[in-house]
Amino acid sequence: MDMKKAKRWADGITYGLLALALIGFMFPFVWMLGTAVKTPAEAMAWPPKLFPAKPQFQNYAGIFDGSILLRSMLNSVIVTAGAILVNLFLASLAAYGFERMQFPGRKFWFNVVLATMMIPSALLIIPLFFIVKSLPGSAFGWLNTYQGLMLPYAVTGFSIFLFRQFLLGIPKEMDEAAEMDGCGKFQTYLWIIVPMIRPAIGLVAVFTFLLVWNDYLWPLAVSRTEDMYTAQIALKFFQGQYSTNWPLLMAGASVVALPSLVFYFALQRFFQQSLSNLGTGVK
Amino acid sequence: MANRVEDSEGQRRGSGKAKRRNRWQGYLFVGPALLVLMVTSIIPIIYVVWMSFHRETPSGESSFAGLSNFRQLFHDTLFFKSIGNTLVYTFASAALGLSAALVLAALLSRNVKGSKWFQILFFVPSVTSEVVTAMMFLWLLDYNFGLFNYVAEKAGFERVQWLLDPELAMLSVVLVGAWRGASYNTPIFLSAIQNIPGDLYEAASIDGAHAVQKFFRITVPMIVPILSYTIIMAFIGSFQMVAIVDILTNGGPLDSTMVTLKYIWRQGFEFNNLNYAATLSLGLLPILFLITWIQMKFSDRRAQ
Amino acid sequence: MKLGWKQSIALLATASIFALLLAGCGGSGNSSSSSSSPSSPSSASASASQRDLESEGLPKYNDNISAKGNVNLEVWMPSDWADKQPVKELVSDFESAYPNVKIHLSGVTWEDIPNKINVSVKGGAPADLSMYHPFALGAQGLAEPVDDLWQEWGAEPEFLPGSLLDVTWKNVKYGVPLEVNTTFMFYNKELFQKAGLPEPTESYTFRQWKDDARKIVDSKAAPSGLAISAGGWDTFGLVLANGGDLLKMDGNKVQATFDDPKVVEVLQWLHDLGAQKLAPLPGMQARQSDTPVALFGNKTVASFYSGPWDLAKLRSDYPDLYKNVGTVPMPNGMTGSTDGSVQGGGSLFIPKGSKNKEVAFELAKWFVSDKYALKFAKEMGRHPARAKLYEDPMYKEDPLLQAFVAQLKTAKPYLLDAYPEANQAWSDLVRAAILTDDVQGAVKTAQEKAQKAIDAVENQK
Repeated sequence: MDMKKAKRWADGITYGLLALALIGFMFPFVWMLGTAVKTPAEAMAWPPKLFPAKPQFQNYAGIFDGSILLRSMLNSVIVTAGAILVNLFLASLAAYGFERMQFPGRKFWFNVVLATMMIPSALLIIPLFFIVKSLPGSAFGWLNTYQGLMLPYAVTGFSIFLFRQFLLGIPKEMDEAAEMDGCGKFQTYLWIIVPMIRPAIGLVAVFTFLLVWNDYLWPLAVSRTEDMYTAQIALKFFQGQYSTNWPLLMAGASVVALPSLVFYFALQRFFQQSLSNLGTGVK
Repeated sequence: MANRVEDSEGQRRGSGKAKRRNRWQGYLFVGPALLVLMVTSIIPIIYVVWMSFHRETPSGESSFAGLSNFRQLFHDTLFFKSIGNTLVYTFASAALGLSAALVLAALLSRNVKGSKWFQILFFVPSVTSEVVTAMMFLWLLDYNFGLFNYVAEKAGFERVQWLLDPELAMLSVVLVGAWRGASYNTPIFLSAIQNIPGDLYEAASIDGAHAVQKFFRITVPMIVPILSYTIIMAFIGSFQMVAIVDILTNGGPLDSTMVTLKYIWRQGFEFNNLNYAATLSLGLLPILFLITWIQMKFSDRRAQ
Repeated sequence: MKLGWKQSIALLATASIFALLLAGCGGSGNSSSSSSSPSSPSSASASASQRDLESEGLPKYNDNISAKGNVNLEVWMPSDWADKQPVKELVSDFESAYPNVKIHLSGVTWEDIPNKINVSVKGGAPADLSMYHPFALGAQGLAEPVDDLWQEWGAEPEFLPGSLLDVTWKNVKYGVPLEVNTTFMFYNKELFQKAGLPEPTESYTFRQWKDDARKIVDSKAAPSGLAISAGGWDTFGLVLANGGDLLKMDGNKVQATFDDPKVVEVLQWLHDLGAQKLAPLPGMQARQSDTPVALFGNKTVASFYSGPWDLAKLRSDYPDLYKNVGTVPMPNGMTGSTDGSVQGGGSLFIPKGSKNKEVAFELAKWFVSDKYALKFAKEMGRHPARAKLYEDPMYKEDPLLQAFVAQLKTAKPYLLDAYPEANQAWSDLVRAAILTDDVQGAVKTAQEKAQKAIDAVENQK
């Protein structure tokens, strides 16, 4: 009897705290969505109201009207998808090489990979711009192209690192068993390791998605024509020289944030499982 | 990793050739990734290092400047202030954010009905860009238009100078950082907690332990490896934060929220002192290297 | 299934190439601009050389342009220009007059323009025409000097002298003035009446403004008297109105004059307004332009200072309030003996390294032509830099615009933009003056910082 009462109390407190946290996390987004359907005057009214009396739902149509938002979101999808695919493949391959294979310079190069995570990327934009412009292709190299947009995200130190941490948790006996069956290194990677690190693949996919989808500086530098702009650039258009259209900006921001949320939702299963293997060493 | 296998075709051709093959085969795997990193990171970083030893002449050329940029760095009080600010921000937002994430994860691990929905919604703050997040808080915290001040006034208090008072501005920035950090780290802690064997808790219950006791005596110690991982990743991430400050305070009021990356950005792109900005970012490296080195020690130890 | 070592490499290589190709084959970067051109003006159906451009209000036909063969012009306009109909019309109009020229028009958020120009010029892939404050970009070596093309054009006398300052640095021209604006005073007639005050006139002073603010607050006509801004540009307008300046150009020597008594007067005025709760404290963020007009629209304040863009905003967002809006040029300093304000807007310029200078300049001429400049004014609220266009009836008919036109005569551009570090020092100073009590101390610090920064730039040359 006592246990049941104690459990109900505990559950009650749990719900209470979780609800509090929910309010704390969600509240700004409630404000964002409320502002998205206000008029500009209502957005800066005093006293402020969370929701307007007459919601301007047409704002959600207005953000696409004659703007580049749709096309730019498509561009973001292409760039993000490409970056994720290349990253998953090359980073997992590299992590396998670093973790499972011995070769001269292994430790050195791994430290180099880690070091690349530490320089603020903003400063790398100018040399990177120059490099991308000099790559073979058109008169301006890879500028204003999808491959140019994708390039800085194609391989990130973080994903190599993450895959490698994950591999630490997979016992070497599995590799050796595969080799005993006559597999070469690449086959072991492809048929044994990859299926086992599926959860890490989910993790890297989500983190890379967030990284690329929300980036602004590189797409701004590399694109030259509006048809290559990404979603974040288009979103900033709602900030004019003299005034910002807050309702449209918030409506646009909520639309632009949606794919990230959908992607996270879709991969949630992978996400949950994967993190448990992150170097706890419990296997 | 020598091949002990004898029955595979490829090995019979002689161990010497096999060993040579294996010595460099690793490069086939890390090669493509390293090649891309070389182009996108390593060469630009070398360029940044090169820049820190040069300066720009009026005609736009670069002339060798020796260590003069570094000397300037040593006398740059604002740079050091920015490091101090960044450390304050990092420690405070990590402490608040990670503690909150830990508590939330512990609550979610009790698996009450509807936990799944809480989990998903808790991640929403991490999914929007830093810029949009900062914009939302800009208006919530605004002195004249903000909802928070409206509520404060209604409750009978004075309006709060969230972003106008030097100390409160840092607090506001820290809170926004902690808010995002709590959201981002909750799933990480949750997974770690879910990995703890249930019998430990049962044994403790038999011994008559309360929930809170179980939390501090079992949960926390069992996830120390994850805890250290998140702390260090929070460090590195916080040092790269700039959007929140950019939008909420622009480094003010009176440079109280001037964080290092904002200062580097300002020097490089607003003042066009790209060479000096390169120098400053190199000045940041020792701190980040130290943290990562500690991180690596922990994570390698965990793996044993 | 048993892949040997050689086959493994082959598979690896193929897979890597495949992955990168997948990424690459979607690229369409060389496609032409996305600007959906509306149906061209009817006169375009006539062949280019048959069109009498001058009668349409356009610059006369320039044979040099058509003689250049195929030209691809990369034009980066601010985002709130690029999506407007008159601009798109202009682009297709130009293309039909000069069929050998193809224009790629893109929008760039205003505050990102300097950054994008910087990267593209330094990286060797500049655009051909853009818009910002050319004097600042010229000072940084990011804009092409165009004195020779101006000489050929001969249109210099047509422009407002203040507007030419936006494109000139050290006596070299770096662009073509496109838009001018300035700040002036807005007030709410109803609230002033409620407080028992007469409407501000052209001889209004800052002292009167502060006294009136107190009366407004005391009589509870509104919670605050006026809205102030912590922005450097806006405050420079106040300094000019008080007869002061922030820079002194003495021959070749450039001096910061932050410690000039007239500047300090203005800073003290701002400080007192905030401290005595006569004006709401402004935010610290970089963008200051959203707040004052909203405070005015909410009737939280009875007056503020801003530019013609806020007239348009008040008309569209607060239509009821708009009926009670009055405008008057900036107060004549503290005591009523001076006149001035800050000039803003923007001008077209050619980024350094562009290979299509002449064609870009010709397009710039079209932007400021009679035909299009008035369109921009009427349809977009962007006011022209050529003096004679102000004779258009639109400027006589709108009583609220009178203050703007009058103030334009004495408006000066914000030359601190050419010295970014000094600019930052000024920005910081305004905020420090409003938030802290030691205005003199803040002035001293800022003056030193600014002079040091200016000297560093000047001594390099």
